[in-house]
Amino acid sequence: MTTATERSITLERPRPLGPLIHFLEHQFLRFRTTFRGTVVSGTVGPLLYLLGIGVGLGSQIDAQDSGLGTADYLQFVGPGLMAAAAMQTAASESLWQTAGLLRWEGTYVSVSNTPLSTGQLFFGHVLWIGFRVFVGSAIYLAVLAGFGVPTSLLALLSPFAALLTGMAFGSLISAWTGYTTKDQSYAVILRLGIIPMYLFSGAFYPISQLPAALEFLARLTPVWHGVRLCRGLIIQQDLNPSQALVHLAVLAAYICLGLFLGSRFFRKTLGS
Amino acid sequence: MASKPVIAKDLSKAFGDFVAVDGISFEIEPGESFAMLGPNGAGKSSTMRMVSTVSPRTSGELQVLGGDPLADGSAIRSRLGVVAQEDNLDAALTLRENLMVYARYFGIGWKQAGRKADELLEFARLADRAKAPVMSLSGGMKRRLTIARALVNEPDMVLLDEPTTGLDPQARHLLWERLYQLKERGVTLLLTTHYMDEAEQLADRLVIMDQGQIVAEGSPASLIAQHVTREVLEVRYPADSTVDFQTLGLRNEPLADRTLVYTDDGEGTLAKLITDGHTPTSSLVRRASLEDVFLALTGRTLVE
Ligand SMILES: Nc1ncnc2c1ncn2[C@@H]1O[C@H](COP(=O)(O)OP(=O)(O)OP(=O)(O)O)[C@@H](O)[C@H]1O
Ligand SMILES: [Mg+2]
Repeated sequence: MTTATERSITLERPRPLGPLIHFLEHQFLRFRTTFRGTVVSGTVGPLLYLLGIGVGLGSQIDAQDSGLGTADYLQFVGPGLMAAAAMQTAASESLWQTAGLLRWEGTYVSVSNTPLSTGQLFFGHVLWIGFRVFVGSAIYLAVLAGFGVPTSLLALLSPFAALLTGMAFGSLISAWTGYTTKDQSYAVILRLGIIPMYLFSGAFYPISQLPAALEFLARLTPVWHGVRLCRGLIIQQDLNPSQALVHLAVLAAYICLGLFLGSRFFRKTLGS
Repeated sequence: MASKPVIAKDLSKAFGDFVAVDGISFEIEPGESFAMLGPNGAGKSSTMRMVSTVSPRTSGELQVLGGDPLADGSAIRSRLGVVAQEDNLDAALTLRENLMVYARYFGIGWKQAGRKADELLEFARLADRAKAPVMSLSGGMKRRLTIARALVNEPDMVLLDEPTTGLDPQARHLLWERLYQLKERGVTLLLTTHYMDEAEQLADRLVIMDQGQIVAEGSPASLIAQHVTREVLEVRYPADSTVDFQTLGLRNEPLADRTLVYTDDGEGTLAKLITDGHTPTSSLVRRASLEDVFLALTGRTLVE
C-alpha cells in the first residue's frame, strides 16, 4: 500500500469489530425518530392480542379439560404469541424495509463504500433486527406480567429466546430479499410462509393436536422452537435444560444458515 | 513519489453473457485528475465500481492504491472517497447526521466527525440546512451532500461518477472549483462525465469509452489534435442540395440536420464553399471539442 497523504483527522486503527459497531450506531440513530412509535405500537399490539385471544377466546376454553396444562388459556397462549410476534416483526423488517435499504434508497449501497465488509454489514443487519425484536419482546413480557402470566424470574430470559427467533427469521428472509429483485414475492412469503407458520407454530394449541405430517413440519420451523423456549421460560412448562439446548441449537443453526446465504446474496447485489 | 493509484490491465466485467467492460487497460498517476468520457452504457460506472472495490472484476488485473480490491477491499476503501451515480443518502437522517454517521465508519471519533461534518456542510454550501432532513433537499443539493460525504475521511483518491449531472451551472462551477482545491492538495481524482466541457476543464488526462472499450486516451488537447482538426465548420443546406464534400477534398461528418466539416481554418473554408457556389443556409465556425473526437472515432454523437 502507498503512504497516505496528510490528514487533519485521525482514522482509528481498524479494529475487527469497529465497523460493525459503527453500523449499529447508524441504525440506532435512524431508530431514534421512530422509537416512540415503536414503543406505543409495541404495547398496544400485545394488549389487543392478549385481550382478544387470551382473555376473550380464552373464556370459552377450559384449559384444564383440554389438557393445555395451564391455569387458563391466557397463560398458555400469551408466551406463544410473544414468540410468534418476534417472527412477524423480523419478517416485516426483512422484506420491503430491507429492500429499501439494499436497493431502493440504497443506504446499504453507500455504506458498502466504507471499510465495513459485506459480511459485517449483513451480520449487523441481522443483529439489528434481533435488537428490534428484543425491544418488542421486552415490552411484550411487561404486558404479560401485567396480566400476571409469568411464573418465575426465568421469564426475564424469554426476550433473548425471542431475539434468537427474530434473528433466525431476520437472516433467512433478508437473505431472500438480497437474492431476488422480485418484490411481488414478499407478499407471497407473508401469506404462504409467515401466516401458516403463525397458525401452526404451537402458539395457539400444542402441535401434537396436528396430523402427524403437519406436526413434523411444524417442528422444523424456527418459530416452534421459539414458542417452546418462550413458554418454557415464562410459565416453566414442559422444558428441561436439554430440550432448551436443542431448541437453542436449532435456532442457532438457522441463524448460521441465514448469515451464510445472506452475506453472499448481499455481496452479489451490492457488487453487481 | 508513491506508486500509481490505479493500474488496470485487460480489466473486464461481465454480467452473465453480457460484457459491460471489455478488457480495458489504463494507469492513473498520483495527484492526477483522470476522466472517463463515454455515452450511456459505455461501461463507465461498471469500471468505477470495480475500482471502488465493491464489484469484483470478471478477469484482468486491477490494483487500487497499491492493493488488490479483491483482497484488501476494506483497507483500500478506508482511503477512498466514492460518489456513486445515485446519491444513496440516508433519508431517515439529517444532513449533518448523514455526514457524521458516515465518518464514524472510517473510525473517526464523534467529536472530529462533528467538526468534519460542519466543515463539509460549509464546503457544500449547505451549512444553513444542517439540521434539515435529507428528504427536504433538491436534487442538486443532494448531489452536493453526496460529494461532501465522500470527503469525510480525507481520501487519497476520490471517485466521482457523473458528479455534476443534475447540478445547475452555478453549482457545477462551485464543484469544479472544489475539485481543483482537492487536486491542489494532491488528491487523485477519477471521474466520469457526459460533459465535454467538464472533461476539458477538469481532466489532465482522459479515456473515451464506447461499448466497454477504451477507444482513445490522452490529454483533452492532444486527443483533439490527434483525431480532429483545430476548428469545425458546421453547415446546413436545404434537403435537396447535392454538395459533395468528398470531391471538394473536405473531411466531413454528415449529421441528421447538418454537416460538420473538419478544417484548420473554418472561415477560410466557408468562404471557399461560398465562392464555389455552395452557400449554406446557415453556418457556424467553432473550436473542435472532445465531442468531435468521439464522433470521429465512433461515427456517433456522445449525447443523443
Ligand atoms: N448489474 C447489472 N446487471 C446487468 N447488466 C448491467 C448491470 N450493470 C450494468 N449493466 C450493463 O452494463 C453496461 C454498462 O453499464 P454502466 O452502468 O457501466 O454504463 P455507464 O457508462 O456508466 O452508462 P451511463 O452513462 O448511462 O451511466 C450497460 O449496458 C448496462 O445495462
Ligand atoms: Mg454510469
